[in-house]
Amino acid sequence: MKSETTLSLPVRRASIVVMFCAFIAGALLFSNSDAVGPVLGLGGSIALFAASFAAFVVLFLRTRYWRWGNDPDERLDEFHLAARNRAYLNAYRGLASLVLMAMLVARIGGDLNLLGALTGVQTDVAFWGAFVLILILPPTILAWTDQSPAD
Amino acid sequence: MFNRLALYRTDRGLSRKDLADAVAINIQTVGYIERGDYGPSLELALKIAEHFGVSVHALFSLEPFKPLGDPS
Repeated sequence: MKSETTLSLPVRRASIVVMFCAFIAGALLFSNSDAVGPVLGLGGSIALFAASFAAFVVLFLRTRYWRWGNDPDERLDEFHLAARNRAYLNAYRGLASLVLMAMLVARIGGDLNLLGALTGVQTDVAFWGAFVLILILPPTILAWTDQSPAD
Repeated sequence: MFNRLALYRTDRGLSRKDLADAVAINIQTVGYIERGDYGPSLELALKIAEHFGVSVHALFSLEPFKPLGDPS
């Protein structure tokens, strides 16, 4: 892994927090833009998505974590392979928990008539949010947990 | 697991990168092993020992190593 930038653990964790919080806030703003108005809804969500993307770039561009999470097995040594396997297991557990919680909320909320039907925009936001989360979760877990002495 | 990898490596004048290249692992993995944060597989331990020309027991132990020169 050559010409890679190293980021300290606090910088990596701060980037991850910004990446997720800005994305969630942007998604909520975008999916409720009818209620908050088009300027705040669209403009605010674009700004938040840009902040989330900037944090993604800081975290993964020229650091080892994206490659560590996505390279073929043959390109990793036994330590990195074992760490990645743990990250994938934790990602699976996290996603499975989220899906279970979403199903419970939908079921209970539906039974008690607490939830209205999702709009098309909200469905799109939920779909793309889940899509991105599935893609980035394993390398994100590696970036969150790595205690490399080089950092 | 305890090891004397850093001792042998510096004694032979090798950098972590030299050792990592010699046994085909990542330089960070050498650091993890030296700090005792990662116990290598038997295959990797044998490769490292072979590289230094010593037995695995000279490099790795389940008990803390006695200081060099300790007669006990």
